[in-house]
Amino acid sequence: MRKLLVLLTALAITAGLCTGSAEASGTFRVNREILGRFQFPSPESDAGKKYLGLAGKEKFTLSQIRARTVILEIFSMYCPICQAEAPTVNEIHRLIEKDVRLKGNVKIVGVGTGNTPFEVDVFRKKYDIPFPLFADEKFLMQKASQDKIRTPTFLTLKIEPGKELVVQSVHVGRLENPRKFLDSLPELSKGK
Amino acid sequence: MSLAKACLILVFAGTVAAMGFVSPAAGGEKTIYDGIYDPGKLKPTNTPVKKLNVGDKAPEFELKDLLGKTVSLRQFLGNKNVVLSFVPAAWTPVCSRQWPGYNIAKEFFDENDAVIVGITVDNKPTLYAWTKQMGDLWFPVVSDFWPHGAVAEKYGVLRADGVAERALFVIDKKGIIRYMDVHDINTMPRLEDLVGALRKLEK
Repeated sequence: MRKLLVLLTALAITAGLCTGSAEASGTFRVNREILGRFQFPSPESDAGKKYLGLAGKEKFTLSQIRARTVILEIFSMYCPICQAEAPTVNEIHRLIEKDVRLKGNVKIVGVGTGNTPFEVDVFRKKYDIPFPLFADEKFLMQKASQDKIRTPTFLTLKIEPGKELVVQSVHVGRLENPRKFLDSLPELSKGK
Repeated sequence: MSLAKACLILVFAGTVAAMGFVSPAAGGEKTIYDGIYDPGKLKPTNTPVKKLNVGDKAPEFELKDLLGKTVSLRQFLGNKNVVLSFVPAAWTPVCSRQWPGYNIAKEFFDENDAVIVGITVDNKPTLYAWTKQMGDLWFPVVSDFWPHGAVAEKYGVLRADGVAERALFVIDKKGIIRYMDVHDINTMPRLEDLVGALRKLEK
C-alpha cells in the first residue's frame, strides 16, 4: 500500500511538472485587460481603415475593430519563422475574404514586435501582406504576457457585444495548415 | 501484472499524455525558433580600445566562407560597397535574427551597389548549422574563428570576453569606412539607419 501511495504521488508530480514546464516554454499567458488597452494608430491607407471599420479614428483599441473575431499575429520582420509563415497567413486572409461566414466577421492584424515602422513596411512589401500591420518598436506587447513572447504568436480574440475582449485561443509557432486553423475559429466550429 | 507495475505504466502514460497535450500549442519541430541560448543582458559594448573611425581606411581581411570560398575586402574594391556585419555569437537571441532581417532586405543593398558580409568568431561547423536555420542567405558568412577573432581585433570590435561586438561597417568602393555602428550588443541595429548610410554613399 505504501508503494502504491509513493507511485501515485510520483504520477501526480510528474504530470504536474510536465504540464508546468511546457506551459512556460510554449504558451503566451495573456492579460486581456492590458491587451485591450493598447492603442494602435489607424492605418494610413483608406483600404486599411475600411477593413478594420475605423472611419474617423486616429487611434484604436483591438475591441474597436469592426469584427466578431480578430486574429492578432505577433511577428517580427527579423524572425525567419515569421518570414516562412507569411504566405500561410496570407492564405488564411484569402480564405476568410472568400467565405461568406467569415468575411467581415473575422479580421487579421499583425504587430511587428520590436520592429520600427520602416522594418514592418519591409516585411509588408516583401510578402505582399494584404491586412494591416503595426509596429511595436518598444516591445509593449510583452507587457500583456507573463511569458516571453516568441514569434510568431497568434491570438484569436473574440469581441463580445459589449466590446469586451476575450482571448479565445493562443498558438505559438507556425500554423502550417490554414484550413485547420480556420476551422477552429468560433464562426466555423459552432454546431460541429 | 503487479500493482506496482501497473502504477509505473500509469506514470509513464501520464507523462506522455501531459507532454502530448501541450505539443500542439507549442508547435512541432521548427515551428518556433528553438535552441537559442540566452546569455541575459550584457554590457552594451566591451571593447577596450577604439581602433577605427569614419574616414579611415578599412583593414584588409581574407577569410573563408561556409562554402570554402575566400572572401576578402580587396575583391570588392572599385566594384562594390561592402557592409561588414559582425555579430557576437551563433545561437544567441538578437544575432539569430539580424541576418534573416537583412536576408529580406536585399533590394536596399542592390540599389546602393552594396554587398554584405556576415562575420562571427564562431567556427565553421557552428556557423553552418546556425545559418542553415535562417533560410538561404544571399550573402556570404565568414568565420573569424582562427586565429581567434583576428579580423574583429583589427576592426577594434573584439570584446574582452572573446566574442565580437554587434558592429556594422559600411566601406565604400575605395575601401574607406563611411559609417560605423558599434551597437549595444543587447539590441538590434535599426535597418533604416543602415539603409540611410548606404543611401549617402556616392553613386
